[in-house]
Amino acid sequence: MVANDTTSMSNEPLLVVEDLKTHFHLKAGAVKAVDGVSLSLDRGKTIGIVGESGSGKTVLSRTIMGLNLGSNVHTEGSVHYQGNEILGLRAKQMRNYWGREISMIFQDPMTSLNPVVKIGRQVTEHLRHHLDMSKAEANDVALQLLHEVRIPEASERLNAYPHELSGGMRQRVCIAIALACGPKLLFADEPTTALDVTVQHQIMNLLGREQDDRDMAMVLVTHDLGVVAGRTDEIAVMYAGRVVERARTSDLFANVKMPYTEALLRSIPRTTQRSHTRLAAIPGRPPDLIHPPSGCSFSPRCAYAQDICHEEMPSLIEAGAGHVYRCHTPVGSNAATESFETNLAAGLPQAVSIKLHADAVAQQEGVA
Amino acid sequence: MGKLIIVRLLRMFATLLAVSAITFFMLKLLPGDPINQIVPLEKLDDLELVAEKEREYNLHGSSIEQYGRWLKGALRGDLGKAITQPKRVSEIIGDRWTITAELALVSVIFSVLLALPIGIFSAYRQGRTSDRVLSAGLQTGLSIPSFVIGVFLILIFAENFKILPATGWTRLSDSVWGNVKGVILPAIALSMANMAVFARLIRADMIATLQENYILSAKAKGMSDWFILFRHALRPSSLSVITVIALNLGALLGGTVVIEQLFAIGGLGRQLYDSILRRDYFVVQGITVVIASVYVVLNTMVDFVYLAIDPRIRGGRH
Repeated sequence: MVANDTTSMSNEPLLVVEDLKTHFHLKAGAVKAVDGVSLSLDRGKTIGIVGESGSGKTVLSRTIMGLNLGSNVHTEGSVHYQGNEILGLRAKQMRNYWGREISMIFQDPMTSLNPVVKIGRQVTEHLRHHLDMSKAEANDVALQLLHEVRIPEASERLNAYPHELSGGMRQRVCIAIALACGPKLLFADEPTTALDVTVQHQIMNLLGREQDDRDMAMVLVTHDLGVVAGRTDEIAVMYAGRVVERARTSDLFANVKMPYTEALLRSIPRTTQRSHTRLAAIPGRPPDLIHPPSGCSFSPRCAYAQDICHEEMPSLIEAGAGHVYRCHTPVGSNAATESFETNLAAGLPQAVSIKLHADAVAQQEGVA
Repeated sequence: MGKLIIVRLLRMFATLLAVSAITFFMLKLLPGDPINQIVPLEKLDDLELVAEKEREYNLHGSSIEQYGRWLKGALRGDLGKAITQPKRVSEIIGDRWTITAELALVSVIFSVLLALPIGIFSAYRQGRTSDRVLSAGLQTGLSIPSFVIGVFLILIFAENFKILPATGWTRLSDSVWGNVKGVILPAIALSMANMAVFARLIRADMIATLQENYILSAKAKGMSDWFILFRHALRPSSLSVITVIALNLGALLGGTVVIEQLFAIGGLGRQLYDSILRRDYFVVQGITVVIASVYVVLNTMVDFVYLAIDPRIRGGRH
């Protein structure tokens, strides 16, 4: 059973992750998918985990949840949920948390529902399993849930199969499934990536509303800073298995320190830009996690990198209350400006592309 | 969906027609005239007798006419006259088919009952020692011919322990217990190779299904492994094994020849074998058509089972 120590409930964070490491042991060597991540999340709050594909954000959320990591995986560190260590628990013990205390919404609603099982059973089976409901009781709850996630003709939908629903509707069903047992913590792993833009917006609003109503904490995993901007209390930016910048959402956008965060922000296309403006992609590709670059893992792609960046992994530096980053040459510092000039003069592609992008934007604004 | 079923049924009848025509004309292509078998060599000059016999055995007129008459008879359940015994072909088949059908059915049931738990368990423990041991065992089962298994079974259970009969067949109507005792050994001998095939198919499909995202979502809901295996993974993993089970059932109807010979059981397979040796043309033809038809019907039934298992197929236009 899940221990519920009510006295410490109010001040203690719901989830505390400390120095979490997830390494996959392959023949070629150890893949350090998550390499020393620390986080904490209060009840009812939202943290956004942001990074490109391969930055370790999905593995991080699966590790915290203890889900589906193969036999070749090695985890280290600690994950406290309501003060209890849950990292390294056996699946049998984790089943008391899964679905009931902690649940997850997956990226692709087209494949995360069983195609040969009716929606009704998929929404009710864990209700019956965890909360010992009768079939009729569980059906009532399911109907209620489908109404809540705004699925029209809910009672007919209970008898439908997943292929009879659109992608957006399926993701609503997945949300209903995740919410069914009233979890206190929800992992949403790129919940809108597979959906088109208008549906994305609706789904994010639905998630936000449900979260407020239920006072549920959420870990929102995404590659899109635009998605997390207005919907999270805190953001952790991940790169190569590490958190490279973490701050309250407003602080992060007001005062970006990590060049990688800045590059992610720059890569969001703006509506004010003229059509056919070049996208500001980040040159290069995410590092090899078996043989990560020495020094800062972002240094090979960083426009502000100096010699020290290639040699020494920066430690977490505090920039203000709750704002930490890993960088030798933080955005806006003199060191950054100097090394940018040097790199531009040396013709490094990452520096040149920033210059070109800035010029293009300036030119457009000049025309306008 | 109703339309889909009608289309499948129409297609089945068209296939049956083609099967009957192919069987009929293929045997016509064989060298030699069946009349040589019917009328003794010294009486072949007696044209009146030959004409009479030709009429009796449906050998008069053109091949097309013969096929037409034969088909008309077949639709009424009459497959012509046997040459080497004074019986109708349909009588001989009616006499024998229950034995072979029972043998095939029991052996398929044996193999499915064994294959299901083995396949599911191996998939669940994929790559671990228990899975490897089972896989090696299946490989062995697959590579031993059924008659070798049959000989060993006879040695152990009939010769050594004397609990089951080595040969012979008791009809269900004569003695239920005798019938059960008689079917066990040949059915086991027949089922081993199929069991290995079924178990490997279930294992492979199950492993693929267990990688699916919806299995991970079921796990994230906190459902037990047992529940996930049987209530989520089994159904989507059973399509190909069901096809193979039905095909094997069809194949067994014609493929029990060796085992029927070994256990001295007078089923359809043994009859087919004897009739080929004795050149009883019409019996061979009849049995072939019956076996082929069972195949076609089983295949259509598989399509209907698909409809029941996978709701996505129901909506499609096929």
